[in-house]
Amino acid sequence: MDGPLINEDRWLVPEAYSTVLMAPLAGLKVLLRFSLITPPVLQFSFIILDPLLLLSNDAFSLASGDTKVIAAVYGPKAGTRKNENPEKACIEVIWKPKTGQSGKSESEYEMVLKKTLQSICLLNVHPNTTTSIVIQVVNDDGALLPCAINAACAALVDAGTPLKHLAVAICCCMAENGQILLDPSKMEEQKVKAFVYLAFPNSMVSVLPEGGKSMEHGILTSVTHGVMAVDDYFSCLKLGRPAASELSDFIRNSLKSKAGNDPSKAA
Amino acid sequence: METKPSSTFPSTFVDQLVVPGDVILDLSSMANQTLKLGGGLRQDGDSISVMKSGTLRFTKPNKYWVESSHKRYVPSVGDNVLGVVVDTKPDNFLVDIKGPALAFLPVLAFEGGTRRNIPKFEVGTLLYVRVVNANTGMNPELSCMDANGKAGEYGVLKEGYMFESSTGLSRTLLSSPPYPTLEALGKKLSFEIAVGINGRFWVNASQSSTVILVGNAILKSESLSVVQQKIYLEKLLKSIQ
Repeated sequence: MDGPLINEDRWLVPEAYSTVLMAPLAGLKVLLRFSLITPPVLQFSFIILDPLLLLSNDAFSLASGDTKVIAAVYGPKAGTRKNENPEKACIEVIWKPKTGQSGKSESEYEMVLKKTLQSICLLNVHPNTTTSIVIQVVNDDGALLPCAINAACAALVDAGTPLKHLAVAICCCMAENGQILLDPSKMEEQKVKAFVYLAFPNSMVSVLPEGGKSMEHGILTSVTHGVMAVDDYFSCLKLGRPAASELSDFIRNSLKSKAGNDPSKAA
Repeated sequence: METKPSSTFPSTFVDQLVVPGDVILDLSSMANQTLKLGGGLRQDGDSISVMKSGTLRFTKPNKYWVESSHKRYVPSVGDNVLGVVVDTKPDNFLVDIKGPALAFLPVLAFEGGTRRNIPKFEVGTLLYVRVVNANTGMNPELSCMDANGKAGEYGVLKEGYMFESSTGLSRTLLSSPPYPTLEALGKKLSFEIAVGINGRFWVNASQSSTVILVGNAILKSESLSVVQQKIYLEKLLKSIQ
């Protein structure tokens, strides 16, 4: 974009934006149905927008996306909200649905997201501050909460909030015939008897010989809908973990390519 | 994804992208060494892990830090920043420096400052100040004097216009060898510039068109490589002749 970049103070410009698209590509849905033995394949598209690019309106260049969410981070700003511990940083999540007013389900999403993000943020670095995260749903085609968790986490990384590790979220559902599907669309979510959203810490590179492994066995958040057997839940967990580690490698490569394009970060 | 350590010191990840959660050093396997950790790193028991994503940097003998560019600034002692006065109190001015908390500028922190000649700053005054104190949990403290008590370049910046950018751009503007955009602009135009490490810079010139030109050129050049910057500036400077 040529021409002046206008920085008007009366527009509230957030510190970081991130848009995440989870795209269960229509033609490849058949491949996503694997039996419990072979690990399923997850296909998704991911875009991270950095705040400077966003001002120039040339960052949206994705061909097909289904579930789409924009996450914006504001802060840390001085002062915590009432009834929050002033010795720690406070995280505030605002969820804006695509249509209609915010209701009970939006409050539930806000609460789940807030708890997840609180567990990955280091709250002692900036005590007595509030970091606000606004999630705007642009399109909902299934697996909305994992999409929002991934977007919020990417936005926090971009904004420079101190984090313990990243949160990587996926959705698993149980179809009638006992198969486990990853990343369902909205129609599939309504048809299956149960689905679960899972958030894991990211897989990390480490100089510790064995210490890094223990982090990958952790789990941050699990939200289930519907009825499923306990064994099915554990199989979902088992299948979800390699998918999450693929997603976290993807995130790492996206951050690398974004840093590579930015000459101010070049060595 | 794990890598086996080939040598623990210096860390194998120097000059590479690191992501929050990565462990870069294992203290239990190192001899008695003191380390200096800069921004973006924290100690987690026996290991040093990453808090912010960015490039890991190392200088001998023992300094590690993570270099990244954000819109928000984390105050640290000794930085020269551009602040905007937000409020005045009897003892100090409240100044916004783009950090998590407002900073205090004591009313007497000026060269030759006494209770009798307290400067009067209106809300919105732009100041070039130095960070004196930046403890976590406390509001940072500023001063308009350098370490020897002289005013130096600190104080009010009159006229001109302030632009907001990222901390990474501020660092490259202040680096040596000088930033190519600044050099090229300086050869053709005459202007004054003050760069705050908190992601703000101020430009002043005799004509406002020069101010606009310089400000926009610097903001645009952040996303261009060195070669692209040269091309862009050649075109720009030709078009104003």
